[in-house]
Amino acid sequence: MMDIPATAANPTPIRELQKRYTLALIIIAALIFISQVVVQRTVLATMDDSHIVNIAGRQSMLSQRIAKEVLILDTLPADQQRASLEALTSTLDLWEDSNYALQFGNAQMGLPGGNSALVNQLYLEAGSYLNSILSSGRCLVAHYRGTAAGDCAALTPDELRTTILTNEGPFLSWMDEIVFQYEAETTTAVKVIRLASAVLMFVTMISLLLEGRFIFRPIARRLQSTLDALHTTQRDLMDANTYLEQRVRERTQLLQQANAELQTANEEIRDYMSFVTHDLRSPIASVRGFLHELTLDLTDLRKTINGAYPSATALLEDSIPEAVTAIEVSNNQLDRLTHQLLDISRQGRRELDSMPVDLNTVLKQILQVYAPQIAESGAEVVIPAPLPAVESDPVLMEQVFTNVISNAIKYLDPTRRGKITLQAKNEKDRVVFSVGDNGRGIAPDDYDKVFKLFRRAGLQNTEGEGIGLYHVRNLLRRLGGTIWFESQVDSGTTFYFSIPNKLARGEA
Amino acid sequence: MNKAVRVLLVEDELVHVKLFERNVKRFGANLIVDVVDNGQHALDYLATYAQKPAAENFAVLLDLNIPVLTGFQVLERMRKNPKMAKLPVIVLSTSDDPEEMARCKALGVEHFLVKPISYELLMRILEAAPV
Repeated sequence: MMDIPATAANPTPIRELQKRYTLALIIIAALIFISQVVVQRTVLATMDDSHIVNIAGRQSMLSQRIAKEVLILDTLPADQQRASLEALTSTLDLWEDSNYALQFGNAQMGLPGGNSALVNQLYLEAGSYLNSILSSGRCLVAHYRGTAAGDCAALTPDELRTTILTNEGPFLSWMDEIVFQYEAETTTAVKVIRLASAVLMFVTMISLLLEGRFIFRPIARRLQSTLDALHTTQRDLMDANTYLEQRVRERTQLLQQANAELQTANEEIRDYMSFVTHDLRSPIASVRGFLHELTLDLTDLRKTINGAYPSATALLEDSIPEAVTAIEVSNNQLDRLTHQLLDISRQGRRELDSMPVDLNTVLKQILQVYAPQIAESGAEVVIPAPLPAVESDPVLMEQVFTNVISNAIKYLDPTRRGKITLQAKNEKDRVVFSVGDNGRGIAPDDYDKVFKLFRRAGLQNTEGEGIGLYHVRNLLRRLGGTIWFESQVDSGTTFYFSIPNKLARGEA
Repeated sequence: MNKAVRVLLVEDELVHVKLFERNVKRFGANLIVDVVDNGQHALDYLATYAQKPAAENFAVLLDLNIPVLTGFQVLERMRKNPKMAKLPVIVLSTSDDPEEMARCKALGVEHFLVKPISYELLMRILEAAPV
């Protein structure tokens, strides 16, 4: 009733789920890494692009400044003109450097170079105007400083000014073109990156969904089924427990009931036994009384006839006394039987005493009572050592010893000299007594009859009703002891019985 | 037995009554025997007797195992009735149960005889009884 329900159909093995989970983690980590790289690249590219656009814008501004300086040079007084020439020279240098850096990259200026083919083409287009402005500007400065030589000396400052101004317009347009192109390219790159980000995010989400579908759902299902199974098991266990408790309660109640019934029955039986034996004893007493009367009458009759009638005399001397004796023997047997039955029912009722019992005195008294029988059979009773002191019920102890000893005497072998040995041995918390005889012994077939009521083992040629040992066993039970025996046919029997060192008072 | 003694034999079994009568006859005892066969009749008899006690000595011979009221019930009621309380009772029982004996003694019974009783003993008791 406690079988664990089968788990959900076809559960994915845990190891497989672990593999999947590891794989999913790797994929998601990779996706996150890639996303980060892409984002970082995007940020960097955007920063470069804005820088490029700034520098490119500055180039337009620088070219305008050059044009302005060139136009105002003549109007300036001599000292200001010198400073202006310095400024013009450095502006030209910066302008040239920046242009180079924009085209080919310069780490100091934070320019990566590496432009697209289209931008490079535009730089080439703008390059000729730039070069014209540069050479004309430098030549013009040389003129003002009076250091013009070679080709430069051949050109007039006005010509140079014109060249600069005519080239400036186209250069600005080309620069605008370049800036525009840069911006266009940046926009495209940002678009691509955005798309990539979106794709990555999508892929990541799909991965998460797949993870959910192929890892977390099976795990959840598995956990659920495990929990269900546990729950069912727990419920079953609780049910089983409740059921068992119920059963135990029921059984206990039944047992108590049965016990109470047994006790009542037992008491009823005892009362009934007592009643019956009392009733039985009345006719027995009456028979005994009338037998006595009959004997007296017979004596009178014998005197009256005084041998006058031989046949009547024969009846009076032999036949009638024999019949009377037979009735007497049977009646005495009945008397003993009912007496012992009464004893049993009486002992069942009596509260036990626990007091020191001097078994040696008890034994002496018993042996005195049985002295005639012992003498008659020529037996000897040997007690090698004094019996130990015990605390028990004196009445029951006496009955136990009386019964066991009379039993030993009764079953002695008439063909040899009887010997009864009485011994005691102290054990941990009990005393074991033994009463051994060299009597006729008990046949193994009769072993189970020994302690039964109204059963007698062996030859039925001795007096007895089969109550003695049954009674002894009951007495010993009440005393908290037990009885057993060892026997060998034709060589004797030893009865052993034990009692506790100290009988608990009031024990029943 | 010089002086006549009256006894009330409370006995329901005819054979025992008969046995008793035969023995009384044999001993030639100067005994007046009244017989009742159950406990209630015994009490009725005693109630009448207590009204006008006879001149003779008197004793109750009580069997314990009798119908209607048991011997013990008769004893208990006798002891509660001031007019009967002092009447001597000799119990006749079929068993020598020490418990029964103790109970009888507690109810003031001095003599407890086990059936079949010894008539010599009974006669001696009746003779000695200072009733």
